[in-house]
Amino acid sequence: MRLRRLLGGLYTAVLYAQVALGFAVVWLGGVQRADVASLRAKTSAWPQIAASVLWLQSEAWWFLPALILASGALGLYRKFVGPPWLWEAVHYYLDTFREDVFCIGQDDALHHHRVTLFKYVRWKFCFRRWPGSGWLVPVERSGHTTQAKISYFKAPDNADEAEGIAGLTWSRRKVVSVSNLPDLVANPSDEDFDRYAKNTGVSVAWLRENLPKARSFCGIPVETRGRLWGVIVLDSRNPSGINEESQSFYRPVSRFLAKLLERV
Amino acid sequence: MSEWLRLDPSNVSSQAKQTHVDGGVEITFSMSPHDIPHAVRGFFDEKLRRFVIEFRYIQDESWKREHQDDYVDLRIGKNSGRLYGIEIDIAALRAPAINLKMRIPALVDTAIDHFWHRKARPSRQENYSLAKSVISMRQGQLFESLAGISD
Repeated sequence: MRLRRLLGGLYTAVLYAQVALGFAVVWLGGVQRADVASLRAKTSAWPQIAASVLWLQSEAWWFLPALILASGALGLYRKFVGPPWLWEAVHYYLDTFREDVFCIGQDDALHHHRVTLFKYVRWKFCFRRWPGSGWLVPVERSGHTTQAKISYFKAPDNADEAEGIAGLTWSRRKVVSVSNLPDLVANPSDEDFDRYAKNTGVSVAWLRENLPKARSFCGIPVETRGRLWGVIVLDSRNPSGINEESQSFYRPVSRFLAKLLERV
Repeated sequence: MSEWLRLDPSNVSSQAKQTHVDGGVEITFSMSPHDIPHAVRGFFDEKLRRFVIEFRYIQDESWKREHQDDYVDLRIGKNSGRLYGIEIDIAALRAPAINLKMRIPALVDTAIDHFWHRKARPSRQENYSLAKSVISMRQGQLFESLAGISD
């Protein structure tokens, strides 16, 4: 998520660069029509100007298309990253959803109950596993902590290999709710690990490496224009911390969320 | 055009839940909220000259018309395959309004089943079953406007 904030900062810089490129293309187009001889006469004190214009005119055959392509590439980058205001709005809706959907105790910290939005991507660069199998990557999370090092999960074409609650939700295209999971922090047994792994779609090895503290989950598919876009995963340290009527709270949030996510 | 009849998603989709318990851990699979209609309406479309039943979901998408038989066409979501509406050719049925109210639910059921067996995606079965049960639950209100349609 912090990387995305960095990318969001770059978004503004890229926007300005695109505007500058646009002006450059227009200006270069104008330069093509310049009369070098008369320009040379008018700017005899600055011979470099006429020389530059001549150079630009001679190189325009590749320079102009390159500038246009560069502008297009920057536009694609902006579309891929999404504007910062969009992610701020998504964050706001996840925070709002979080307030309604959990049974929050008085002493509970914010990060004990979280809402995480995962986006499906076909390809993800990673060293350990095959990158082109289909992945659910976290793009936004409620609150202001636990924003770094969020796991991503496999969502391949072979649905049996889908990982995690996110993967289970994606592969089934249904709401998946799991509650009363064993506590893996306070002296868990092997049986606890096995039961946790079996009901959350991850391996025991993954659990031993990551030691999740959540004891209840709920995965909800996210769609835009009828197509699966990703999933929302609710997790709570309370074994029955997720409101049974979470879906009814999702409905008003989802309309705005789906509209926003159409843009990325 | 008649008003939308609001549906309670928890009532409408309660039968589609599956729960398994494994050593105290409870895992439940239920329908995606995107597949559950939250409103339905029935009205006679003057332009199409057909009686139309429409379902409203969380988000709209473009749909295509699937011809089923001489009387019924279905509106199916282009991307999701969800049932967005049913068009019934009242004139072709050539029946008085009172008989239409009795015949149409059966025709709709048959058309949906026919489409389901012929072309539908397996993952859409629950959505179609839900649509049928909604029509059955609300048929009195949905077909109220049939009384005003001349034979």
